[in-house]
Amino acid sequence: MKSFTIALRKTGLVAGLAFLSVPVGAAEADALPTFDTNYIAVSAGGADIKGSKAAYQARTAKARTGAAGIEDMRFDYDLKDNTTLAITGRALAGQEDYLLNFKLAKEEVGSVEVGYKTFRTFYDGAGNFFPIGNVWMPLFSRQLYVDRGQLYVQGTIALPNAPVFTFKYTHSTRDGRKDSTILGDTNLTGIPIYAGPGAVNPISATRKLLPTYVDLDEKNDAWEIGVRHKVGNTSLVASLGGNIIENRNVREMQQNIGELAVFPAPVFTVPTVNNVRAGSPRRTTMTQRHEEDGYHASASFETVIDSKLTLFGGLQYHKADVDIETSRQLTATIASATGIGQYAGGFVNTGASARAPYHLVAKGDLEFEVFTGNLGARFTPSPDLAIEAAVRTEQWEDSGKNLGNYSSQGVTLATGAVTSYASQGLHGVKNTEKPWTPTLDIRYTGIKNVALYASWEYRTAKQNEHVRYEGLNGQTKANELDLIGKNIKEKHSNATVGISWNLNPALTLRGELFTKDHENDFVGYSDVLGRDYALNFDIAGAKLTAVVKPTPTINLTSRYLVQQSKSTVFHSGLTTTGVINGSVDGSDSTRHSFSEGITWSVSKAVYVQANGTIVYDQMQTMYPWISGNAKRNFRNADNNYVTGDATVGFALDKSTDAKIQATYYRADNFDESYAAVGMPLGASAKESTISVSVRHKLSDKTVLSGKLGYFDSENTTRGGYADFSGPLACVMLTHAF
Amino acid sequence: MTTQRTVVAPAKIAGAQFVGSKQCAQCHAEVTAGFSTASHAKLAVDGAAADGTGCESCHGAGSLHVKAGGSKGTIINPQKSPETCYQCHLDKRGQFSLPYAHAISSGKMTCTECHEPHKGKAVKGTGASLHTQAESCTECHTAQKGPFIFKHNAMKEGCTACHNPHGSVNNKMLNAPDSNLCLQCHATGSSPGMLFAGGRDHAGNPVNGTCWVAGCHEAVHGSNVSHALRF
Repeated sequence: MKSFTIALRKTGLVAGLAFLSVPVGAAEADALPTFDTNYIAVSAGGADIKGSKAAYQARTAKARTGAAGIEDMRFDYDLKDNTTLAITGRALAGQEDYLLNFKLAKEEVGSVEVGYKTFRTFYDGAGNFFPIGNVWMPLFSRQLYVDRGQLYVQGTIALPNAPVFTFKYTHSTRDGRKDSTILGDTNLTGIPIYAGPGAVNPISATRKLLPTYVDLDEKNDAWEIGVRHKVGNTSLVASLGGNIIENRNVREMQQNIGELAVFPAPVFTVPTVNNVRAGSPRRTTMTQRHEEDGYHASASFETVIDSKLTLFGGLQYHKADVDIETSRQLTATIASATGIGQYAGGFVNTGASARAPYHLVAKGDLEFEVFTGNLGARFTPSPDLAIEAAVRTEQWEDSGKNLGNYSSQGVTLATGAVTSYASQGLHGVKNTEKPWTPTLDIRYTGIKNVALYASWEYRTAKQNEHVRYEGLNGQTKANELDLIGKNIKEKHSNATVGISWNLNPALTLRGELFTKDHENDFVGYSDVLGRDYALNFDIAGAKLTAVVKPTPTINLTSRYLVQQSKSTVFHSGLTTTGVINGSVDGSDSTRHSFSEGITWSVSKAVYVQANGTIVYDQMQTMYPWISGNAKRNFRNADNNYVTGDATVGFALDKSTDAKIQATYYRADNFDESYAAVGMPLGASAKESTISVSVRHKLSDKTVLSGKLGYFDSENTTRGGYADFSGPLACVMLTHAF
Repeated sequence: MTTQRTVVAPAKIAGAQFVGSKQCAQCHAEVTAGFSTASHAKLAVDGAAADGTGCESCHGAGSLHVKAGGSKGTIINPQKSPETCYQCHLDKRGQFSLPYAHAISSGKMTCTECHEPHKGKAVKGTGASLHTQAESCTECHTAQKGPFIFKHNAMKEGCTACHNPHGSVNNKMLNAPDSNLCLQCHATGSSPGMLFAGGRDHAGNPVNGTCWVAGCHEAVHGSNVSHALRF
């Protein structure tokens, strides 16, 4: 049942704790009973969905099949010798949400906990919608979901007046198929493709909107043992651990579906040796394997010198070896004089800067080593003033290589002759980075009912990044031994000042100003000598909060956030034509967010809660200052939205509580007119939910809950193809033993 | 319609009164000992007007918990619900209700997986911490962790340079759905009709879609085969 409340919360957030869950805190004698131990809650529920069931699953995190089983359970047993055993669990079939946990604890000895948990996340794999041609190409009938699971064993040995030992082992997995925003392209957009000698399309008909997906197969085995102990005024902590990561993720991408170009092709486009012409369907499978075997060790201390001074610090070491493999299998379907065939790669020769659509298989290894240390002091010269100063330093080194084997087939359309190409390229990296980060935090409470605080951190880093790239251009290997070196300097300053002011029990005001000034300077050497790139990113903003309690039964909280982000980019030394030397405004973005929350205890038996947030968020980069076709093809990015929810909870009779909840979400950033010259991607949607739930006490040990709700979701960005609506219903029975 | 029986709005403890943080420290000293260093502690104000600040701001009034000897069900455990955090972080309530957000609302994650309320910086991995902020993300997202032969230096700014971990109207919790996301840093100049990014005219590319779509810069977190961040 909790899971169905969650469905509503996901679709726009129902205010308040899950009404039908096992609630916390109703300890008043006349409140309905709550169960925190020795209980089981079983539930069943589902929804009758009209519209896109895939979108329903992705949005609500609920299986379209419905779910039933054990929503929640906990049993505690007192064993001999001050030993307890706690068993918690969950088993929701359909939702594939499972948990089983055992915890054995003995006072003044320690505890052992063993368990397994898994849950499912859904994706809709929808790709994008294109309004001009009303294009919607959902390629997959199979459900997309990823199961995240974890098997764990952890324990503590905590004998009196002795070091505390801890250990933990986890085996985490992510397994399944999820969507991707790396979308394939199509010409079937409804935009005319002009043909014939001399014809020039006023705008490309190609849009990248075909859905793609990734098959995840990720495992992470992690272990750690630790000890902590207090010797005099010094607390010591040390740990040793390791990781084995095994990731093999496969990305599937299709392009130009159903757009096989005819042969003979129009005279004006037939080249001597061709290739994957626009309109030749392609299928690409990209696999990345990452196997990491590493370990880490750390030790830290905290010493209380006296009532005014505490020192702390630590060291950490992390080293790992990584095996990497990459493959990109690309198959092109090409029509030539000999008919329709499928070819590996399928070469296109469109110039020196083009990337050939080749097969690729690469294998290599990496290693990295990181030393980290910190040292600091907390100083409290008076009860009203606390100062903490610390510094962090790190030395990071990574290096490795990756040998790529490239192959491709070029097809001469007029004859059907195939030419094979093959080459190798060795890539490599050696990278060192040495950041220092001093920090300072100050808090002052010497003014009655006021707390003042400030914090600052300043990261400076020197980095040398040297890579070797042997890429391919056109039909031949090029850029051999292309050595690219960069000296990178960072200066990142983050600062905050704030005030918390309790004027009286009815009014609290809080304010905070924050800034980030991040300067990044990349100076090229070797083959990129003279290519300098500097990025200065500045962020400034404020958070203002007011908590007002006009009466003991009403609580109003208001929160306003404003943030301005600006970046300046300097580039010099590039040889490409165009005006590219000098500084430009990379971005000038603004975000305003206002939220209001109200809780009103109307009477002992009735309360009302309402929350709302309205956000204006615009990311502005080059649009204001570019011109001509570049401006025509581009827009600012708007990310505005409104959310809201309201809840009325009340006692219906002496044995029944009821709750009415409603939620709302609205975004309106989709600019259909942009489709003529670009790919409209702004989010526009309208969603609302309403539900009525009751919770009825059958006995002091048994509570029956039920919920009826309705949701409606309209998604303009997806052209209405991802809309869904329908009623939901669920029941839950909770019984304590 | 109603009967006069106790029903309380979350996140509250019916019938409980504030007792002050010193009471909490008697049993939970290992937790309260470091609270003075916590980001949240900066807001704590002494005095009568500050009634309810401290432990009970998040865990609810503690009188019944104290009276019951610390039994379950008499105090709020914020790890079971984000409602406690939402009381002040109203904007985060809105963000986590957006279509693309971490699984806080569904109860599969908790705020404390990325935030530390009891000691030190609230955002894990910031300040002078031995760990880094990115480690909070890559603990689960190991495929994006690297290292890579060809790095995307935006990763040095942290994952939040491109993603909003609390939620977004855009898929993958992106801060922008389109090429603006990349051009914040990669806008390098313009001639009439041109859009230079990385020293190359990309004026025709936003027509087709984002910078990271098929055939373009697909390996945005880092690549082992392409210095232009491609697969």
